Amino acid sequence: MSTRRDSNEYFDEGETIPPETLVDERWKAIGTLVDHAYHQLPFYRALWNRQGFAPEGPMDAAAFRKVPITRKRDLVRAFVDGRSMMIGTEALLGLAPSNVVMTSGTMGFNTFAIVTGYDLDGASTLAQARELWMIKVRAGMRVLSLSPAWHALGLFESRAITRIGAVPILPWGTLTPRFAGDILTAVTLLKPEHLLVTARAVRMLLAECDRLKLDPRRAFASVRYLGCAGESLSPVFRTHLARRLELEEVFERGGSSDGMFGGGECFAHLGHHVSADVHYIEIIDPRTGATLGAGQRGTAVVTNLSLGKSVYIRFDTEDVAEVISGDCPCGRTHPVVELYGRLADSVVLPDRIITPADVRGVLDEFEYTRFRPFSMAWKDADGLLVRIGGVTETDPAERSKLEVACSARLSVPVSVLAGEVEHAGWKEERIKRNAEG
Amino acid sequence: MNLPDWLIAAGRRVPLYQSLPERPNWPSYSHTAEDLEAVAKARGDPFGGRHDIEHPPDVLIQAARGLPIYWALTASDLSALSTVLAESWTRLGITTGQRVALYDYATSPMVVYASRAYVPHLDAGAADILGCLPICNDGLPDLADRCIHILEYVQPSVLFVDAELMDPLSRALERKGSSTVSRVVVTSDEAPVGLAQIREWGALLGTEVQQMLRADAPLFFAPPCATEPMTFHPDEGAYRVEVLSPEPSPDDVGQITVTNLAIRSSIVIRYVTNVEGVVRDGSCRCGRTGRKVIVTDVD
Repeated sequence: MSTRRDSNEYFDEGETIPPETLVDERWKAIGTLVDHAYHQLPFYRALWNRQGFAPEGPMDAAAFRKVPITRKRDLVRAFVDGRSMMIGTEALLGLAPSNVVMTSGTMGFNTFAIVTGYDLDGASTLAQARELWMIKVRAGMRVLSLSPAWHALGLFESRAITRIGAVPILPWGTLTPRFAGDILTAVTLLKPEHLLVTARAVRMLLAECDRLKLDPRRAFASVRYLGCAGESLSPVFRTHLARRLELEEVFERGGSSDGMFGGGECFAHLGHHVSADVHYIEIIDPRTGATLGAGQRGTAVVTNLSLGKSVYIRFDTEDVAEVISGDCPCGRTHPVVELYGRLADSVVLPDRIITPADVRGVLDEFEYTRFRPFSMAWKDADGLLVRIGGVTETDPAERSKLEVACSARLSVPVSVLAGEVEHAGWKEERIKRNAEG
Repeated sequence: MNLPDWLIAAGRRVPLYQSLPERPNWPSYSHTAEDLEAVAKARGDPFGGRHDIEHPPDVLIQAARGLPIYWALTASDLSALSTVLAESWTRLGITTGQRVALYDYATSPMVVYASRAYVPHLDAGAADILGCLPICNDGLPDLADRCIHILEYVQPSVLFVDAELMDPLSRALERKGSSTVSRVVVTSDEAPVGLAQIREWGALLGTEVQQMLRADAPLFFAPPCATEPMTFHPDEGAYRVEVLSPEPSPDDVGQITVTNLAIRSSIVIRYVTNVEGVVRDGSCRCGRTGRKVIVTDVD
């Protein structure tokens, strides 16, 4: 893994704007946004009126905290009631919509959003281009990318690749097991230097290599970098990927189709730099609704700072996150936000939030639980119950070591059981469950 | 066949057309998907010998499902293909302001050339050219319910759908007791659907179902004739269509063969499709002139 800055580390000068300038610009943008939303966007006006909010005067941190939080259920209800893809969140400024995108439907309902050419050429694509640049995508570089056309971040990625001037490799299909062969063939024949995929897809590709008795180091010989989205990567999993594929660097990518924001890691790998001139991320305590400071976990609440699309204002993504304290060694002035996974998959205690990523991190340090599926549940009498799938029996001494390690790391009593995993809290499974339900 | 000089020159440059097996009864340059794979294997060339290195590519795309051959396309190729697709949409009656849904993979030619947001380096897709609003569902059969969700909430004027997804879509509509007012345009790579099936789908969905002729390996699409069944009008500026009949055939039936005049960085001359039919010149009952393809090998 690299530990220092490139001579061309930044995509644009905007990445190193002084923090105080970013703050000034943010409140100006939010002032415009809130005013526009209240007067022009029926969804926000109705939501805020119901909660007795009306904007008064210029925006700052204190004033903005009075703006009601937008929840996923508010959006879903508006779509269902209106039976339309437009619900009054579309700040299109008179521009023609260019694309309709969807969310992944984690609540069993895919919401819609509108994008315009203004945004595809503007702020959202700039943020995505910075992210790709940060994770070492460069002009002329062959980059395997299979971004879905229904996902806002997929569209922005496509435009960002254009803006950087990279050469995309597009194998047939989508990131599911049935296309693992097509993707692997494209890697071996077209020799990309970079892969932009999901963690699940990488596991799928490694399984395909195993099936074909192919050494992944040979199959992925051209690949130097991996940009991995979809889940929080444990340190052991990152090392495993770097070693098995002989990569120079593995980058985690994070973001949400809900809220249409994302961010990549720089070489410091502290979390995701979210472009603060494009999105404002707050961390909110899900128990109290209080705004939390750096170093404290809550859910990421996003506000898009640019118009020309469907806008999300104080939208609770329900993703557990924290803003990382201190300056980043890369020199970027935009905040670093670490994303840990879905609140619905986490255990929320009075004094902490335990996410599957926390448990995954410990399990991956032990050989017999490494990369295995698991589920977790809180029992008031016993503490955290972790069920490991695919393990029929465990050596009591090993199990005890694992429980001690989990308890020490998570600061709660932990019991580990082998056996069936009813619901591992992963995204695909939850979408399926909710859709069936 | 009267080919433009640039195409003849490019055909002499790229490896494919020097590597084809001897076939005395076939017109020069004619080749199949198997030839592309053989050349790719023999030369270690992922482009099947079709890439003209005088045009450095901006995008590399797998040519067709299950075919490990890739397009090396420049931005101007992407643009040319989007124009061809936009023309096809226009002939299907799609107009400015309409919403267009796509139930297919993001890498299908039906999707790639539909929007500049769907593929890097494309300036304007068919929807951008026509001022339409596209939405793509992805092409997995188990996303049929989501396609219905799109039909309900987006209410597109037209739904483009890969033929293999029609059964899952029909079943999902039936299960949900839902229906669609969207017009449906079915496509299928080198496997056109018969008229009886089209009519059956139309009756089942209670809407108009049309078909666009599609062959991915030569990047060919042709909209249907407005009056004649199983008849398609390819863009004359973009394609030369012929029939390959190595043996004398009654009614001039043979394999439909496509030359792509729209793209420059990958050279497609006389790709022999699996589609059986005839090519007719002259005016059509619909009023169009020029070559038309009549598909004959499906019931």
